[in-house]
Amino acid sequence: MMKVIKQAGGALFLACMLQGCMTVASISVSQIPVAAARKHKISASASNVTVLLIPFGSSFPERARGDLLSQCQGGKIEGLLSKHQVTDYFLGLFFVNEVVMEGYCLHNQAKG
Amino acid sequence: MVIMKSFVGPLIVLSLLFSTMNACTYTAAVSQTNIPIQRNKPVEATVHKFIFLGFNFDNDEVYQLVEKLKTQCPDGQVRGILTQDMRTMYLLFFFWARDTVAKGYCVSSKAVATNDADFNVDTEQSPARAEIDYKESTLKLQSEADGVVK
Repeated sequence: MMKVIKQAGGALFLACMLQGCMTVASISVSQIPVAAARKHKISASASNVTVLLIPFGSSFPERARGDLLSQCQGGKIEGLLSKHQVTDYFLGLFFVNEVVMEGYCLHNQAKG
Repeated sequence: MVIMKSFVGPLIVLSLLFSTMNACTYTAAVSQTNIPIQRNKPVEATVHKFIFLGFNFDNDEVYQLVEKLKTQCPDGQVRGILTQDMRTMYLLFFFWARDTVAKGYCVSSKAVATNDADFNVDTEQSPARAEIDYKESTLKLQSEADGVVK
């Protein structure tokens, strides 16, 4: 019986270590366009990893924005939701910083 | 478990050593505003604050961001602003540096007005038009309901 409990405890501990606990660090929403303009939804995300408190780059928001811009060339982007989230692994020894951006690409209807 | 302990200890010591020797930058917050079509004139502003032992009594330096962006775009509007708030830690987190970066696009006021007007042709619904649409849809629903009753 004790062996089973120990094994279950070990499995639970491993599961806790391996799974990523996610927290939202910051969030923002910009002006949302009218319903008729919300046809072309775009999204982009980028992340960087921090291992043992050593971060590997902090340019991930720019990469996310660059990705978003490439999806809406010749148009403007409105209704932007930007979410910065952190996922911890192995009791926080490793964590992933990720930014997710979602918005609507509006193309100039008047000029086609 | 014993193997785990033997790994975790040295790893933590190593990380502390790295933290002492290096300045690690962490992102604390990110925000992004609407992005315009005209993206040919990027503007950028940064503010920096040094904090000792976590003693910090105001965050007023961030107001300089707006002023700095305004001076770079005197005849237009700054749009599509990406702000990133970062912390750089030195010497086991005894010293901090806080950097806030704002990157956007300077768009001339004329271009903004023209562009918004063009977009509004098909996307913006005037209040009068909305009212007409609402009345039409209400009448349609009412007539459908009447048809069902009959």
